[in-house]
Amino acid sequence: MSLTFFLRRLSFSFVALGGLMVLVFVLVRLTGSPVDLFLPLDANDAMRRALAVRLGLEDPIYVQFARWLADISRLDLGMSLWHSRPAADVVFQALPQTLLLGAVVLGLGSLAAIVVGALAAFRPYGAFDRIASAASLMGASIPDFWIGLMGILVFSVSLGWLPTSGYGSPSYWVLPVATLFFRPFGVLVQIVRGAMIAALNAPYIRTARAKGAANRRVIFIHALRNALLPMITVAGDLAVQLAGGVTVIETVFGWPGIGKLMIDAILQRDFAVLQAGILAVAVVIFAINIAIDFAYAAIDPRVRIDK
Amino acid sequence: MTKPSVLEIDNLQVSFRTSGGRVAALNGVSFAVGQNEVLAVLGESGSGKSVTAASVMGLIAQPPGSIDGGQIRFGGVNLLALDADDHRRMCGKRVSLIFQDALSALNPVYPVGWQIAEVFAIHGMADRASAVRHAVELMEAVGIPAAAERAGQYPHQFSGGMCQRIMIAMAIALKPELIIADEPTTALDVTIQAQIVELLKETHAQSGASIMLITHDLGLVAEMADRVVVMYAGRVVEDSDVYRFFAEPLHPYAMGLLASQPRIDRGAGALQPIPGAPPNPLALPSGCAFRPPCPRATLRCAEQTPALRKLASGRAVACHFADEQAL
Amino acid sequence: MTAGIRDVNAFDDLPPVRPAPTLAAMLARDPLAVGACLWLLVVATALLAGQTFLADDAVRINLVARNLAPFQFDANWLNWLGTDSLGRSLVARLSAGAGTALAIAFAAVGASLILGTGLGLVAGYFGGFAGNLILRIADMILGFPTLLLALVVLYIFGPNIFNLIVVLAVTRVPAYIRVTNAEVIEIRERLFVDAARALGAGHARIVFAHILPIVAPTLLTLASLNLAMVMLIEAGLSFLGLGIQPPSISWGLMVAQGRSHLAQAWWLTCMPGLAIMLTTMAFNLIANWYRIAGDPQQRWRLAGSEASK
Repeated sequence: MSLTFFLRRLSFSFVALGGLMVLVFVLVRLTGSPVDLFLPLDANDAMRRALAVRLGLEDPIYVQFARWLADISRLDLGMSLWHSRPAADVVFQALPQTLLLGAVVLGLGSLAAIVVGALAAFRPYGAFDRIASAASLMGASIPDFWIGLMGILVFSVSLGWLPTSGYGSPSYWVLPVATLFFRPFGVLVQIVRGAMIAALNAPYIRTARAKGAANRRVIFIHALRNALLPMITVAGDLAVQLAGGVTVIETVFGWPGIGKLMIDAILQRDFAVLQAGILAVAVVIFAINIAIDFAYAAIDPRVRIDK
Repeated sequence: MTKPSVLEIDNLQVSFRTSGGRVAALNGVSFAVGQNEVLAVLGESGSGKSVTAASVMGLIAQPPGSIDGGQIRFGGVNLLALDADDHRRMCGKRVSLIFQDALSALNPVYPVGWQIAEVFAIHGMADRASAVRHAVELMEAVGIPAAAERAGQYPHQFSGGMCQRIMIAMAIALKPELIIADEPTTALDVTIQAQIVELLKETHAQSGASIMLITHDLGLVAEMADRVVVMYAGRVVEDSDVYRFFAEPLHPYAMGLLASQPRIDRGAGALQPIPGAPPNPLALPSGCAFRPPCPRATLRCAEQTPALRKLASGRAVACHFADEQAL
Repeated sequence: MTAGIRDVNAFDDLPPVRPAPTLAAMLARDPLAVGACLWLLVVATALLAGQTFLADDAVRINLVARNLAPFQFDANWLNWLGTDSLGRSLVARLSAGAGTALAIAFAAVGASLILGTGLGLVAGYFGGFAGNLILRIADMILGFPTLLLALVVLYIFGPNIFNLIVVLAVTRVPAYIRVTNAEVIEIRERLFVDAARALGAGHARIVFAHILPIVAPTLLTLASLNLAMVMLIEAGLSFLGLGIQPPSISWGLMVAQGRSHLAQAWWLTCMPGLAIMLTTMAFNLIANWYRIAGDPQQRWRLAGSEASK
């Protein structure tokens, strides 16, 4: 495995991460005093000044930046005004629920998409492909918050089978997972299908057939491994979107994850939590990117071997 | 000429769907490959020579392709009447295929040794360990140095010539009766071409397999083939042994081909290109497809498609006027 | 397959070459794409109505007609899709929402298309430091969840329609940069560009006359997909309260407003969501159709039935 390749990717991800944090730091100060972002709208002038002094906002900007960096390196992201606890604690408590939900959704979506996409690609524009393509297109077009509410309406309100919101036993998982499933599934089916059609038309597939390989072998051994490459890229993008994008669904289902936490932080003007949340999501994305690089190298020797 | 045939293609018709309509790629192709024979199938791109090879190997995608008629008899069995699984089991084992662009014909994500060993695995011919051992032996046989180490490497780590050697190793793995080589040297440098031709000749001499050599390269035909089948616009227009073909081509198209090639024994300025462009498969002329550029075309050529007729000499030609000149 | 026409005058008995099917003919062969176009026509009609004679009905409160269920066709046609808790016509409100949805989607996608294509052309054609910088920034934006980025930016700068369009455009720009860059790098190396250069064509001429026409179909497909995506994100942001603010009307906001009446008046949530879904699906379907129509190898699938056997 090429070390320089990974170091380059790693350092780039670090730069991206740092860039993002600097961007937040600058944007916050660009729009006026951050005090406005921290405090409720009805705060009076005395409160503003007191907070400004306490946050060190009277110091020159480079001093603030240095202190901010030092704080981050100690994982000190300030106190949550709403929870009266360190913001980092609040975020770490919420993170696992989001990651679990995202992993379950993406895992199920990928598996289903590989099976459906591969079968659809085998007879392009055949009956199965037309149905699968229409279904995946629909899946990619559904507003998730809406289908979530419709799910609540049918399965919780009307039928009373599932809880409307909250976190706990498996029955709490059904609606959020089902709701979030549509888009990754829909997007990935299209990708797997397209990549499989391309792979099945590649010269090496003719070689495999000429060798006498059966359909199953041609599809799952020769074509699929090549088709997984674009799928992994897109699944990575989806993972990134899920890491922050479950926000809406967590709000709909009262899921105690980081997305709901951040939306609440926005509505409560709890800036420390918001900032800690952004950092946490950025770190998760950083980890996802490294995982994708490893997956890519494991599948494609052209990435793995330096020439 | 009395040798029994390995492969007999009889009146094969294949067409493809395009946005411009249905295009006939093969309009009744017939020829045979004899045992231990090297048969060259000669033609320009679009003449149907690769489609013929793909039909034998069951590689015509349907749709857009469709096999509309005819027979392909291999070892006395009509391949087109077999079900897909039985057809597949012959491929790689009794008849194998070498492609033009070997680098893209090898799967980029598997080691080359694995890809050769796979031939044994597919046909249940060896267990895993001996398949790998056979693969290394085959790589040595086709002249790949340090075969044991290189077997674990991937196609992108090999040159085009080395990839073609690996393709050949794969093709001879199960000692097939027939090897179809589809433009095996076209994608290679001239010096590498010579090496691959040499390897193919050795393979032929050692294994005794018949070779169906698909090419547009007259030099390659002269070097390797025993017999030539010339295709034009999805038909066989001439079928002849290689010596008499070069000495005295029968069909006007074959004559044109030879006249358009540079030759040592003719002076400069003797090159004669065939006038016009290759025929449009969507709009073939009535009668003989070669009629438009043919210097000897008459009204009869427009009214009547010339059939492939066997001549007394054992050669065959599809031209109304070929007899007079052959005798 | 080599296709060419010989000297036709000399051989006038040759059958004519069938022309490639027109776009309209290929559209007619794909019922889903036809459906998508019809739906977009409906949305466009609603949009016009919503901006003109339905504008007042969208905000007219009628307490007598509160929470009327949909599909009661004997009543006033404005109430055929039901009314909300203040008795406002859902037909009128959905029409008003169509304007918001399409205006934001087209503005954001148009801006990102132009900006992203331009930057991608620069990055791909000239490369160098500037090109690299453009690509790295694109990577950085793409590497972060769109919705979260939009949330934070709208939190800091305040939720209004202009900021919404800007943030949606910025998050979509990288896709165009990447696609344009990748295609330009490939095309730049092709022979006809060399030929053009050898004939003395300047940079502008090579880019606009030779490269852009080849990249355009891909970019238009991407734009159609992005219209769908941007609509979904806008709806999500408005649903969360960080997009369109009341009293303005947006489909996403309507879903949020209907949420508290979910058990009593399902149509308040269902109808606007359906409108979002059908419209995004229409853009996706058209992109899908165009991808086939634009691909010479796949086009036969959309050719007339007389071409089949």
